[in-house]
Amino acid sequence: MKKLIIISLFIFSSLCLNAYYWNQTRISFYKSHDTEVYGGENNFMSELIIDKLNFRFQMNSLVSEEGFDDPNSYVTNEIRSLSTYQLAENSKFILGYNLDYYDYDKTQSSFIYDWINQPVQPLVKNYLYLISKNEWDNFTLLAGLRGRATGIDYKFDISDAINTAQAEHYDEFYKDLALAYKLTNNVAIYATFENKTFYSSNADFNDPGRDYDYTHYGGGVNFTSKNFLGGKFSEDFQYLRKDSKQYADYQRHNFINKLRYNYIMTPALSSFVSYISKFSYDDKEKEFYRLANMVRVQARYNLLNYNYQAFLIAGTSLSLENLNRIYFAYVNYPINKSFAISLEDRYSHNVYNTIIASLDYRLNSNFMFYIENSNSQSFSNINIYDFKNTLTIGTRMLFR
Amino acid sequence: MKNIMVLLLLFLLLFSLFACKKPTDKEYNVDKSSCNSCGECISVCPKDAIEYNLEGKAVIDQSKCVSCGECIAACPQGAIY
Repeated sequence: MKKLIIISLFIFSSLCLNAYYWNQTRISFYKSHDTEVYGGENNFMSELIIDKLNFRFQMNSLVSEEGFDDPNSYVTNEIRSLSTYQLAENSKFILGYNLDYYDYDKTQSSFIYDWINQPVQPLVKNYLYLISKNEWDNFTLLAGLRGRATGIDYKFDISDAINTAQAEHYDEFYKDLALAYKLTNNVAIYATFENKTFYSSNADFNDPGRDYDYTHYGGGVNFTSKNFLGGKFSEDFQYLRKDSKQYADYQRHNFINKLRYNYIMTPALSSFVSYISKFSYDDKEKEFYRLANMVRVQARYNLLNYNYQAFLIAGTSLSLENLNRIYFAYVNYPINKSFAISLEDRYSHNVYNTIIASLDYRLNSNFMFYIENSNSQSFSNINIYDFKNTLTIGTRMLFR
Repeated sequence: MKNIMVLLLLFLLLFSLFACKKPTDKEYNVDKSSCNSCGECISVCPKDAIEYNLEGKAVIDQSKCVSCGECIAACPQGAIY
């Protein structure tokens, strides 16, 4: 009832203000080798634009039958709010608040593992953040404060068996700072700082072995060129020093190299390739380590000369170090002014194959209705289900 | 300038591929340019080790991550490497 009142209030305010409104309902069917479970989800999002203030409110309700001992079985309510205030042309403040509330009485199946690998039921998660972004001359300064508090309860009373006390909540407090300076039109340098302080309500969990505090700081250089070998090129190289009692020696000195090259082959065909490589240096063993890397290649082809909404996107993402391969293809095609269809296939080698088909109906420029079906087959034991089918019905509305 | 840049990148590429050792533990990261902030990885993480950063993109907290790979299967963008 409360949800209905809140949603009605937002729709009413949407009618009076410049606003965007989106709602979708999903019915999911999960199947594993010995279990069949139904789940449901409702997503509501409203965005209000009032002069220099942009306010976004999002509410997600997720329900699933109990059946899997994993986060696939849950009753969760999520509220997201994000306010952005444009103080001046080059200065803005962002205030965000997320609340995740887990309905503990209805299901006990959604859990995380705590520091000593006991299953923990999260009761509530609060995430509040304040960000300030300022630009002047060639400088950009980004500063932020973030706080996260998680209330927990133990799913199984293992504590008696191993004779340890239990925590009631743990909190994380983040401080962020990033400063960039543009040397030329193509080159910029930057420095970053991030610190996290971890606190648990149980003093036993604050010992050094369970100290999750960290400090990251470093700097980098960024180069962009709009005409580099006929295309658009960007390169970013960063050094990041990471300090935490939880990190191994080889994780402390990190080097991250990112490059991206966009190329327009014909007016209808464009593509890009991006490469990310992360390696580190262990100053005790005097050795370099390859931590992770990824190559992504993607192309877009416009199917009709006169309509950019008719297109095909295909590509692959290869994580060489962690042996992960994903291939994807997406087609969007407007049948006429009112109807459009889209089809997507994502295949992750040895992990999953997902096919999504959707039909959009556009009544006018302000109202759209869509129906979507997603079918996912799992090939690994990472996913708790072998098969998942989700039917979604949704609307999008724009009020001006 | 362009030639120097190409040579430097080639050196970095070859260095990171052939001159570095492979650690015993896997480390997963998020490609921020591909992340669409859907939060699927956050909801499946069994260690509560993923949260949004200042830019609203998912970031894996390596101090808590145990490299189970659940986020890889959940990410609809294939943004975790």
